Amino acid sequence: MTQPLLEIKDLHLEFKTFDGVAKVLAGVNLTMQRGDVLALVGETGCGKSMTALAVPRLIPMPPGKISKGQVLFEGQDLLKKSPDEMQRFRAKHLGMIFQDPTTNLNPLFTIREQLVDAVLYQQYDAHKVPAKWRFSSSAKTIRKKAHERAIELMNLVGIQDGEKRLSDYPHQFSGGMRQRVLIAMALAGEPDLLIADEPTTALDVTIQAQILGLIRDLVQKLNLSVLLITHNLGVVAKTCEKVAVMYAGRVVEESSVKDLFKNPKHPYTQGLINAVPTQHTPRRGLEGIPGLIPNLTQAPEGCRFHPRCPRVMDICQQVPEARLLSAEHKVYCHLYEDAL
Amino acid sequence: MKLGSYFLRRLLLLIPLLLGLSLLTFTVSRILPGDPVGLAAGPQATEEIKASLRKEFGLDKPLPVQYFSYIGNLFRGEWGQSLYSRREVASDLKVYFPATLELTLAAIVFAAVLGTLLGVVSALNRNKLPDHLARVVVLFFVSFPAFWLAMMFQLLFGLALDWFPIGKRFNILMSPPQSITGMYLLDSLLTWDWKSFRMAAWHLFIPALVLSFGALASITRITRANMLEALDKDFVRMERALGMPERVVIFKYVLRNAFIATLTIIALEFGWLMAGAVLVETIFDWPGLGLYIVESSLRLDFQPIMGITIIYGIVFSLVNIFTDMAYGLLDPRIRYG
Repeated sequence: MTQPLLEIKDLHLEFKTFDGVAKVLAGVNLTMQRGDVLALVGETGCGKSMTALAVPRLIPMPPGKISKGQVLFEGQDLLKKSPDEMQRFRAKHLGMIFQDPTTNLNPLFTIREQLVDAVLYQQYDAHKVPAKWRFSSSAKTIRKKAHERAIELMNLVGIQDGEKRLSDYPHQFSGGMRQRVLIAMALAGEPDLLIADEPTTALDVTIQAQILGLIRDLVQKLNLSVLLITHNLGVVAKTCEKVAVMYAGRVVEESSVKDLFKNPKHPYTQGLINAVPTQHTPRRGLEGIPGLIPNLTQAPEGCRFHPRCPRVMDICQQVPEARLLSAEHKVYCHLYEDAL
Repeated sequence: MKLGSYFLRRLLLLIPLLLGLSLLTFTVSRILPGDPVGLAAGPQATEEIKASLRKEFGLDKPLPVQYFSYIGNLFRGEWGQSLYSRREVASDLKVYFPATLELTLAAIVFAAVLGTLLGVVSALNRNKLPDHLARVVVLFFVSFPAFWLAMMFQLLFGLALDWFPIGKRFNILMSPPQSITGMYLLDSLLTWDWKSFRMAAWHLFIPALVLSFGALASITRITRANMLEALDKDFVRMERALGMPERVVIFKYVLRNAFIATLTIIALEFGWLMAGAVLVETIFDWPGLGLYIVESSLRLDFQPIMGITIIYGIVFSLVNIFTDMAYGLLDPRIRYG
């Protein structure tokens, strides 16, 4: 097997709060191959966004603290990099888009200023050359090239009149258009991995479909690898090939999307999929999972789902190991045995 | 140009504002109890002398007539005479006002530059040593009365260390730079008089520094608070995620967001500094408006009081207009309406 693009191994993340230490991530394991489009799903507060932010090391520390684990990108541990190295790494290899396009663009600068800077720092290593580079003649040509690239990116993400609209400020764009701009900025350096943290949650349904369509197109055109964080199983089914389900700071099941919907194994996943209304759901019959997500400062021992699990056993007091049901289907539950 | 027409409109609006201001000051200064004519004429003056003085200054006429003739004269450039010294108010203002303006401008520049810098450093090192240090130093200086600090600085830098002169605007043995604006620093720059510039700056430094401390504290605290707020915004995380270096994120993208609130404080503090310059001017023997204001108000000397009020009104309004224009330049969402 080739070296995975991204491998998160036993990642533990804690936050100091007034109520004690919240163990937000308690041993996340996740593997992505180059070219994968992987969805990370789970309820609010299950740690999916924290996992996404831990990869580019954008979690403020303190109060956050990574107490254990590794984040391997093509074999190199990102957690061991210095802040400077990490900043360059982000510029070269990662792209990120976030949930709310209205707050993720700086309101005081034109799109040109922000997009050209994105190109400069991601493609042209602008940080290598200190302030004086602005005034040299080669800087001028680089700036011109970056500007051309910015126009190209605007076209790539489907903004009409890209060149003209570069002079506009963020407040002159609609939400969907802003998200397109943000995607353009994230893709400026041709990243190896695009991390999309709920990219459509804050948008209207029609715009959601457009943005998802755009991401799908870009995956094909640019051969992108995408880690898509969402709580919307519909988005997963439409956009991704693989999916990982998270519950209370751990991945509980990893599989292909088809297999997961047809044949969910973990009791939590089963509950989650049963909770999705279908055409055949009777009018007053949406099913939920009984109980509440645990308080992460006093998380349950062992499998964190066991207090809510309909098929709980004594052994669930211990943390379950990964069981391989097939080459593509992994579940962290004591109900199953390795099939391979 | 949009900005130009906005500026012109605001300038026009200044006229009714100043008329109102002058009417208010005029009325209040005449209604106040006290006999300025008696003060000016001296204790031995007879009623006839007082009456002739009143007649000379037009104080025997009804108040509305007095007011309108004052305003009429103002438009002709006549600001009236001091009851006491018989000097033209306009020529007094021409001497004193630039000195105060120069001192205040220098102080506000110190406070703005130093305060913004300290605020940014504090915010970036929140609750760490530099933050605490900046807080303590700034509060230390703002907690002492300005006149006490002024004297201490005079003693330390003027006498003990002998680094700076203990007072005055310029070396009394030298002639000041050719007068264009009356502000020595600016005049010497305009005439490329490097020697005068150094001399003026050398005299200006300590008084301006002492005067700036009051504003420094609030500018530092406001900048710190707004930097912290701006650093928490989503777009900062986005810019970091794009791999931009910290210095670009902070000094290009975040600072501008934080600076809008700082600007408001700077404009407000400017007014306070101008009014508060009196003490500093007295201690450093700075020939500014300070003493002139105090003496005129104690003697209820109408004409200088009116003149000073109008000048202060103009300066304060102009500062506000420029601040409003700067908002628009900093934040594209603010339109000039």
